[in-house]
Amino acid sequence: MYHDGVTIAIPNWNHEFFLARSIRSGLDAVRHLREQGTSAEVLVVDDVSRDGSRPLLRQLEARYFEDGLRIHHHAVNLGPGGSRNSAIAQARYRHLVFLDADNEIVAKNIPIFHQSILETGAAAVYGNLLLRKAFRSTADEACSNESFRNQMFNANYIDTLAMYDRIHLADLSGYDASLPGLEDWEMWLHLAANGGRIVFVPLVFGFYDVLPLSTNAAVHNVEQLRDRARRIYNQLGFRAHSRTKSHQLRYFPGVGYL
Amino acid sequence: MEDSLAGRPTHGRVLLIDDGDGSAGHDPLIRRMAREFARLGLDVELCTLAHVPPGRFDFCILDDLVAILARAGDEPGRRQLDAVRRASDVILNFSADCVFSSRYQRGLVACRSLGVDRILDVGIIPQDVEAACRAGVPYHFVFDGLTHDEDGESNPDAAEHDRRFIPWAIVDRQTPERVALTSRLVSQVSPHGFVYLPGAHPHEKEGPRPLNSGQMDRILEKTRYYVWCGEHRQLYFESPRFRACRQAGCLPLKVVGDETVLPGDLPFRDFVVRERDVADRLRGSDYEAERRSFQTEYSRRPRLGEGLDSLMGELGGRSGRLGLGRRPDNQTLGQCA
Repeated sequence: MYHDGVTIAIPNWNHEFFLARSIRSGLDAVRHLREQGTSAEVLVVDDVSRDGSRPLLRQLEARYFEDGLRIHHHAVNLGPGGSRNSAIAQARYRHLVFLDADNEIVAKNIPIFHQSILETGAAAVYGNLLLRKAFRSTADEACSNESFRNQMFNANYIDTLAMYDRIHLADLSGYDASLPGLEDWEMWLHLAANGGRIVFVPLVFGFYDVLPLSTNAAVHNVEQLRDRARRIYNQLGFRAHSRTKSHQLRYFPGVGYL
Repeated sequence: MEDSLAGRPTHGRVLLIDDGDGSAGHDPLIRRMAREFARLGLDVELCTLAHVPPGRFDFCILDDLVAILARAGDEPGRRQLDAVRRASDVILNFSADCVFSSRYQRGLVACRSLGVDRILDVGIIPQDVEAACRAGVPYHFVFDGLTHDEDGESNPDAAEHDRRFIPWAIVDRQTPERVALTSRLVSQVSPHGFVYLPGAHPHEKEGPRPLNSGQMDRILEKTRYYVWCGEHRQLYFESPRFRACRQAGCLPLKVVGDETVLPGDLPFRDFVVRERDVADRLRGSDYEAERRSFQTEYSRRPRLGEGLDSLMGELGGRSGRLGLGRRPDNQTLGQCA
């Protein structure tokens, strides 16, 4: 049973110093959603962090439980894909936002993304992500800034920070944990290849901080993993001639498809 | 050679060559010019280079020589243009680019090599003359005012203010400056802005689809401020954006670098703002008063047809058909050949 509403899921692995910011933006979004009559929560999935995340999360949960904060602790480390799968299983609500613990959402825009996913019936909606270099207050690059097209089968330009219909994610058995560092990209391809509609909303979804030593940057066998993803979705290069249902979809509430 | 336009009591013949790419902004301008020339009583032929009708022309205006050559292929394009050149008394290249842009510079080189007589710039303010005619080709400026039909159209009134739920919109190719501006607007003004900043994909066959003019109109009809900043530091006004705002009933806001010197008599001066002031400007605006001011100023400025009429008069060696003389907004500049 999927209750109407939004779960903002924050997978965390040793991001003690960013948790307060990401959780704050998540709880702000919960407040804005609730003001509009939409049920919402923040669910932090801690993947056996070894820094000070665990005691901090326990304190935050005690303090903000009434505001919608829940914590789920893994007993063993499952990686980013496994953490997202836990969120899919543990979330209370039908629509799910994946917010990495070191990023930040634009809280006031989450109700608009929720409206967009309801109006389009999409498997996922996403919006611009503004990239900030470490210790800079302003952004100078954007990703997740274009609609889905077949170029996605060659390279990823859409971040995981997006809103998903949990029914679609569960139906596809969640993230493939055998592609560490590329599981996010693989999920976009998985959704598109299976007929899910992925819609770009030209609105800012959040801020992404480009940090040193990130998990993605630490993946060493990237080319091998990319080849594996291509083997699954585009072995013969046919995607260039076959459009998915997500092709060039853009939507803005009150304006319509663009 | 047949009589020139100056010697004809009734009709002249104008050939407008469209680059045929159908992009938003540039393409409608050549069509608007065609309508205004027709209203001035000229015989107008609007076509692509491949479909030029036979006969002689008093003027030929090329809608972006660089794009025309790119579309036709350089060598065949040059051959066809040479034939057009021989069939026209005067040939002008119509440019709607900043004179400091690399595209404009490429156009200058092509103009010189093809023997184009003059450059016609249609915009909001005349540009740097020295840069405009560096290749020795005279430069003419015409104010991109409303057409006769546009002036008669009613634009959305203040009562429709409530439906403008998008506080600001940025639609442009992604650059670090534009992302920084977006970041500032989200953090300091309102997060609900419409943001479309696709990257450049020169090698991709099927890149991100640009918003066409119909889609832009739908967005601007729901928007309060259409905000943009240029790719270069020189002061340049993108006139199609001002016109789109006027037609949609929203307000333009051109953002320039903090060091930019803004003359006091600049057209639409209230709608040009320095980077450091943009958030304060949007937060402290009286939208309705500004909207009235913008619409009034647009109506006060000369129509496009007036500028074209004056230009014809100058090139044909006589007063324009409308007999209006040349208003200061329509300066002819750069006779520096």
